[in-house]
Amino acid sequence: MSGLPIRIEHVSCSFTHASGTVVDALTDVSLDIAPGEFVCLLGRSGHGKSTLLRSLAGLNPLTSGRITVGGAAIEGPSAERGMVFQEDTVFPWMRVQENVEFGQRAQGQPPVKRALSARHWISAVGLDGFAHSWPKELSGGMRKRVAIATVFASGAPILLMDEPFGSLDYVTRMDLQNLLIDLWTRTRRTIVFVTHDIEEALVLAQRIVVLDRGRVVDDLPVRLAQPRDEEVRAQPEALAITKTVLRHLGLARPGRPAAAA
Amino acid sequence: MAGIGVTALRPRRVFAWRLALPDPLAVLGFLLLLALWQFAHYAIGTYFPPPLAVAKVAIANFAASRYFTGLGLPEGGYLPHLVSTTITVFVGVSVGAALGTATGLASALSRVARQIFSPIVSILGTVPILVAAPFFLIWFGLAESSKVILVAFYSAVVLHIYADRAVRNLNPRFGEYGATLGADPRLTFHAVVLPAVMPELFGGLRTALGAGWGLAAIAELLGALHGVGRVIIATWAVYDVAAMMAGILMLAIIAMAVDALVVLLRRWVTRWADIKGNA
Repeated sequence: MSGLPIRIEHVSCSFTHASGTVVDALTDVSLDIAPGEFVCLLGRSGHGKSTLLRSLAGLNPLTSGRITVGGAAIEGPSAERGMVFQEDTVFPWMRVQENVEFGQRAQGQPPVKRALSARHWISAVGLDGFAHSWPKELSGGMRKRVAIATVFASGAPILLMDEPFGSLDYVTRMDLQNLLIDLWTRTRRTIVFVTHDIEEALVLAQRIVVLDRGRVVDDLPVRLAQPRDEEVRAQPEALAITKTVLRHLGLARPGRPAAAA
Repeated sequence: MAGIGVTALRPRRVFAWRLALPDPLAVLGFLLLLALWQFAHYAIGTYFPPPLAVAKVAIANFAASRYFTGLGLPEGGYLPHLVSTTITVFVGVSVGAALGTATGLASALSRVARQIFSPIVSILGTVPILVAAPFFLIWFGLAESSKVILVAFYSAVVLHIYADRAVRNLNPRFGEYGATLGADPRLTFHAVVLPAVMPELFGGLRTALGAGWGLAAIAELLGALHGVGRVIIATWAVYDVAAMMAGILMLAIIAMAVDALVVLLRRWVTRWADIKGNA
């Protein structure tokens, strides 16, 4: 289940608010994502990042354009595209193990096989000993680990993450970023990760796609070595990316032209 | 594995402890009620018999009573009437709750079902239940079915509203998360929707049960062969207030015991939920 390229072709999406105003959330977005890439979608809030990600998940109808995965146009959500939400979506009525097994259960895997796989992923996200805990007994960061274990265990080759660490404290966020990089390095799943945090994108991404008012305004490769600690992030190339992104976000200081990236 | 991990992993012990000890405030409340009752007897007089007198009547006529047969009641004292009212409530609430839950869930999940059930429930929900009671007696007669149908009718409306509201209040992210993990509508229904609405359904069940006892007794007051309401009507005719109160008291004890069992069941079924929603 690996090696599904994503192709986003001229995708537009507009919503009609209750007041009658039409909002263009996405305008003519085209993007190719290769199998195994780690792409961050970056932009101000309300500029289409989440809409694009939800469209990839099949949770959001397009106004025009199309999205294909492995050559086939997507029609609604599918097990090949697992999603981690910003909100806490771990099922509170299932113990950790049942949660992690859920994707394989949905795909009709036999209980023994999915239990073994769940054990593996629970251990991989550092939750050994918590398989039989209820989510209410875990901290917010631990519940995020459960959600990550669940999408990995489901076997989805494409993982969509919508500001998954947005509500966590700084230290927990860094722990989970390291965990995610580690899992990505080991599995090479395709990860599309929405964030509004430049630093987070620099830590995680191979490629940063900047969205502004529903359009793709830049597509920056990040050729920095892992792990991306503060020294790596202080290298000239990293700073150049930061400046370019800040300029796109309208935050560049006047009189200091951004370095060409 | 120290600190928060360890305490967080032992909900079981807390659970057992909560069961073993009755709430001291509840005990205090009960004693206060008895004191008020005794005081009311001193204030009002013979027609408000004290707790002890009522208890004596209840025990003397519990399983056999010549006195009752003299009033035209069937053999067997209070017992067959308590059994009759209890069965009425059990059958009525079970049938009604099952029906109402099914239509409520269907309405929340399907537009077609909503269009069918919503007007029916709106109309039936506005019919005052006591006004409906005489009609049931006319249509279904003095047999047990009248009061069972009355209780079922009310329970169905309550559970329909609770179930419908519970599904519609459910965070849509749960369903989306399930769908991106490959869950089809069937799995989503029984692994996501159903467990998620359990706390609300138990709330509805308790509401329906609580009202069910009163509705059954009222239906029996209006006309029935068996039931605590029948005893109350018969003893009312001879102004035997102690016998009337004894019937109500025993019914209240059964109702409280049943409610306690439902609360226990709910605590187990929704043990995953936060304690505050689980008291």
